[in-house]
Amino acid sequence: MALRQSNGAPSVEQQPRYLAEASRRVQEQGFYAKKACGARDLPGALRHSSDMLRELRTSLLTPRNYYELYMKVCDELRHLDQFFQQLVADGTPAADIYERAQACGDVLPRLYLLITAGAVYVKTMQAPARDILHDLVEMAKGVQHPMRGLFLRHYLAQACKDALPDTGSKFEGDGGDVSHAVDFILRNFGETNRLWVRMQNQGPASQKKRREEERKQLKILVGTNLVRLSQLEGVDESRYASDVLPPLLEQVVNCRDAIAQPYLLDCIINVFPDEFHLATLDSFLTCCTQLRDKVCVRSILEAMMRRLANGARQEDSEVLGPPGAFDAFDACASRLVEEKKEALKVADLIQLRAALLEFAVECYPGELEYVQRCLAQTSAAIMNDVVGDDAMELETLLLAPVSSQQMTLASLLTLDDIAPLTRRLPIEQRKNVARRCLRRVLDGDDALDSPEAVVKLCAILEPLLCGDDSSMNDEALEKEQTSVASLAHLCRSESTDDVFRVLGTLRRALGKGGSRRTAYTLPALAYRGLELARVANGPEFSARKVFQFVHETATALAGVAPARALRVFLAAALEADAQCLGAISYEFVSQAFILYEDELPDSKAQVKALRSMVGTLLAAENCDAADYDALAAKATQYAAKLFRKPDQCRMVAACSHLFWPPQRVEAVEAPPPAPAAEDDDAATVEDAPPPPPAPKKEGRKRDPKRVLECLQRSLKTADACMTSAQPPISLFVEILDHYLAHLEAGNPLITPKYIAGLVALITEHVETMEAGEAREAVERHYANTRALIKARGVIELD
Amino acid sequence: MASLLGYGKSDDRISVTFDGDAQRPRRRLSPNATPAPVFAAVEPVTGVVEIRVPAGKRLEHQGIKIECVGQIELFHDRGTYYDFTCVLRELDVPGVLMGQQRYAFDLSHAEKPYESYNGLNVRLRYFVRVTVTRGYASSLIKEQEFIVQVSQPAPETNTPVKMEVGIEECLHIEFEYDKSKYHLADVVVGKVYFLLVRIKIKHMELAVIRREAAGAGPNQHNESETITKYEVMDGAPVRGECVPIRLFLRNFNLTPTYRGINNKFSVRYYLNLVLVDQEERRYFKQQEITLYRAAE
Repeated sequence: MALRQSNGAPSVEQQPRYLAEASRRVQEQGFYAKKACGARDLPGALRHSSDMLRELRTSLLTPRNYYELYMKVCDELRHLDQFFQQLVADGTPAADIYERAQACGDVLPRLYLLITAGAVYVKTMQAPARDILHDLVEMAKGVQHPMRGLFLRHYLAQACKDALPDTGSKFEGDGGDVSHAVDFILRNFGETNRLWVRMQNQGPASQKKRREEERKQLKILVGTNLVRLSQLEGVDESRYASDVLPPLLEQVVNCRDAIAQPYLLDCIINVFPDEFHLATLDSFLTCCTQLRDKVCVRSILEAMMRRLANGARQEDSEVLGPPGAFDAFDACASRLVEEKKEALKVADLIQLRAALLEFAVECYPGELEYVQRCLAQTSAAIMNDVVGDDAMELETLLLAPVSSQQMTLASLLTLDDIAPLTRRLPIEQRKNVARRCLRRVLDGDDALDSPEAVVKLCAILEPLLCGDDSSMNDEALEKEQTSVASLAHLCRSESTDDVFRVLGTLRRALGKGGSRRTAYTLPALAYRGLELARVANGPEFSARKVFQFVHETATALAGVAPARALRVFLAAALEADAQCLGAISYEFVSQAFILYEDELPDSKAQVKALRSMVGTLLAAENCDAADYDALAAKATQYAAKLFRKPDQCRMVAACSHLFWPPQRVEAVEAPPPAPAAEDDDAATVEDAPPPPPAPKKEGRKRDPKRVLECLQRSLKTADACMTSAQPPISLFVEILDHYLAHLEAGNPLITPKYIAGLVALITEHVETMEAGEAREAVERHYANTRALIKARGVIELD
Repeated sequence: MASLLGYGKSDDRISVTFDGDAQRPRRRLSPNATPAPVFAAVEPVTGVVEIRVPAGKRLEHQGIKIECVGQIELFHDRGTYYDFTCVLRELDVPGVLMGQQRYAFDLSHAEKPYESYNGLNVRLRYFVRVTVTRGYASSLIKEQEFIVQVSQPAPETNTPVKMEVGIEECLHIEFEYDKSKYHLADVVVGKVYFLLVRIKIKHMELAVIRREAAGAGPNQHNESETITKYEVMDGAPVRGECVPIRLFLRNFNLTPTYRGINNKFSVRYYLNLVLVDQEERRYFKQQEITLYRAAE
C-alpha cells in the first residue's frame, strides 16, 4: 500500500518517482490478476486486483498524475470485467461474484471491484438494472475523499454507460425505465459535483490558487455525467424539462461554488439540444440569477445566446432568433441587475447588456425595439462618464449596433440612446465608435433623406465633426474627414427640395468642424450642391438657390483652402454657364479670379489655378462677349505676370486659345443628357444637359491678332530662358504644338512659315543638348509633334 | 507401547464410525485440527465400534464400554475438565476377543445443549470414548471427536440498532444497523449519518470484535479479539453526509453468541465503528450484536 502523507499537499518534486513506483506496482499486480483470470481463479483475481487498486489510495499524486495512474488501472480492470463475464457465461451466478467482490477490507479497492462486478451483473441481466445501479451509486458514498471519490465516480459512470435502462435498451422493462437511468446519472452527478466543490475547502488557505488550478483540471470528470445524460435516448423535451433540468439546476445553485457554477451551466448549454433549451429557457435563466456573485453570468448568458443563435441560423435563415428568447434573456438580465446591485461592477453590467444587445442585433434584425431597449437600459444604468475597463465595455456595446451589417441607416437612427451613451466615453473611444458608425453608414449606402436624419446621425458622429483636432496628424485627419465628406453623397431623395434641405443641414453640422476639417468636407458639399443644381426643379428651391448655397459654401472654404475653393468656384461657374445663368457664372468666375489675386501666394498653385481658369473660360460657351473679353484679358495678364519664366511662357501660350474660343455650332443639338455618374472634379462641359433655349445674344469674339501676339510673346519668353543653365528646349516644342493647334483651328494669321521656322530652331537646339533623360524626353515629344506635322502635311520636313 | 504412557486415547486397534459418516459434513474449529464430523443438537449419536485383534492373538478384557462426553476445558485452569454431559453404555461383558469384533452403539440419550467451541481461553468439545478394560494391563481407549452445532430459529423480534453518539462541538454522528441479531451468513447493512464534523477524519472502519469471558468470579478471564477490520469510508465527510455500510459476515470465522454456557464461559460479538482522524486518534462506538446459527 502506498504511503499516505498526512499534511495533504502532494510534493511536486517527487511526483515522477511516486507515479513511477505506483505504476510499476499496478503493472505487477495487474499481471498477476490477469494470470489468475487466465487460470479461472476468482479469489486470486480478486486478491491481485485489490492489491492493484490499493495503489489508487495514494494521496501523494497531483490530480494529473493520479489521472494517469487511474487510466492504467482502468486498462487492467478491463481484463477483470471480461473474466467476470466469462464466469457468468459459464454458469457462475453473477450475484456470487457481486458478493465476493465486496470482501476486500479496504473501501476504495472494494468499490472499484464492486462497480466492475455490478456492471457485469446488469449486463448479464441477472438482476434488474435499476437495483444494481442504485446500489452502486449509494455504495460509492464510501469514498469521501474528494479526488479519489471523483475518480471512483467517474469509473462508475464509465463502467455503467452501457448498462443503463434507457429507452430502447435491452435493460428496459424489468430493469426499470429511462427515469431510473436519469436518476442514476443525476445521483452520481450530484455526488461527483459535491466532491469536486469540496476540494476547494480542503487544505491550507495558502494553496488556494493551486487547488483551484487542480480543480479545473478535474472538471471533465464532473462534466462526463452531463454528457451521459444527454446521450440517453429516452430523455425527450418534456422529460428534460420536468426530470432532468430542475435537479441539475438545483444542484448548480445549491453548490454555491464559483468554479462549478459556470462550468456546469456551460456544460448544460453545450450538451443538450437547442429545442430543450428553448423549452426551458425560463428556468435556466432563473438559475442564472441565483449564482454566486463572483460568477460571470454574462458569459453564461452569452454562451446560451450564441448557442440558440447558431441553432436558429442552421435551421432557418429567415428568423434568426427564437421567438420570445430575447424577452426571457432581457428579463433575466434585469433581474440580475436588480438583485446583485452591489456585487455587479459597472463593467459587468455593461458587458451583460452588450451581450444581450449583440444577441438582439445578430438574431433579431427586424426587432429594433430590442436594441432600443438594451440601449435604454444601459443608458439608465450609467450615471457618469466611464473610463478604463468600463469604457472598453461600453465601447464594445456601442459597436455592436453601429457596426452590424443588419443595421440600416434608418434603423440606426431610431436608436436615440447611442449618442448620449457615446458621450460617456473618453474621446478616443468616442471617435472609434463614430468612425465605425460612419463606415457602416457609408457601406450601407442608404440615402440620408431628411434633415432630422442628418441631425441624429451627426449627433453620433459628433466626435469626428467637431472638437479638438490638434492631436491628429494631417494624414489621419485627411483620411477621416474624407470619409465624413462622403456623407454628402448619401444626401439623396426623390425631391430635390429635400436634398437641398438635407444638404443645408449637413452643411451646418460640418461647418462647425474648424478649418482643418472643413478644408476636406466643404468641397464635397459644394460639388454635391453643383450636382443638385443641375437637376434642381423643386417648387421651393430653384437652381439659383442652390447656386447660392454653393457660393456660400465655397466662400467659406476660401478662408481655409483657397486653391480648392477656387476650383469650386470655377466648376460652379461652368455649371451656371451650362444653364445659361450668365450673371451667376460671371460672379463665380470673378470670385475665382479674386481668390487668385488675393489668396494664392504660391506660384505652383497659381499655375494650376490659372490653367483651370483658362479651361473654364474656354468651356463657358454661353458667356457674355463683353464679360468674356474682360476675363480673357485678365487671365492673360495673370499669365504674363507669373513669376517663373517657363510658367509665364507656358501659360501665355495657353492663354492664346482664349482669343480663339471654339464657336458654338447652332445647328447641332447637344447630346442627350447624362447627368448621373459624374466625376465632381472634372467639370466637363460635354456632359452638361442641354442649355435652355439659348437667349439671343452675341457669341464670343475671335481675335487672330491677339492670338499671334500671345504666341510670339511666349516665344520671346522662351528665348529669354535659354540663358539659364538648363535651357528648356521643351518649351519650344510646346509652343510649336500651340502653333499647330491654331493653324488647324483656322487662324488666318498662323501660317506654315512659323511652323517651319520653329522646326528648324528646335532641331538645332536639340542637337546641341547633352545626352540624358531631359534630352530623351524632349526628343520623344518632338518626334510626336513631327509625326503630326507630317501626317497633316503642314510643311515639308527633311 | 503407547498405552504404557497411561493416556492412550487413540488406540488404533479400535475405530469408531458414526452412522451416515460419508454424508456428514466435517469441520474443524482450529486451523490445524483434523476435520471432525458435525452433529446437530438433536441428532442421535449412533454408530459402530470395531475392535481388531491381530490374527493369532487373543485379547482378554474385563468389559467394553462407550461414553459420550461433553466437556468444557478452561485453559488457565489447566487439567480441569468439566463434563457437562456424560452418557455411558456397556458394549460387552468381560471375555476374550479374537479377530475382528463389531458393536453397534446408540448414544441418543446424550444431551448436546451447547456448541463445540475452541476459543482463546476455553474449549468446549464433544467426543465418544471407547474403553476396553483389562485386568492388569492398562485399558485400551479410543476417543473420537465430533462437533455439535446448534441451529436456532430466526428470532421473533429483531429491532434495528440506531444510535446517536458524539463528542460535543466536535463530532456528532448517528448510525444505524438494520438488525440487532444476525445469523452467521447474514449481511450487516447500515448507515452512518454525519451530523457534525469538526475533526479531520481520515477514514472510518467497522470492526467485528469477539469478547470471550472464561471462568467465573475472580477467576474470570476476559479476552477481546478483533475478527476483522472493514474500512467503510475513505476521506473526510462533511456534515449531512450519509455513508452506507454493508458487511458480509460469512467471510469470517464466527460462532453464534454464547451466553453463560454452563456458567463457565460466554462469547459475545460487537460491532465497533471507528473513526480515525488525521492525527491517528480513534473515535469509536461499540455495539453488541447477537449472532445465531440459522438452520441450514
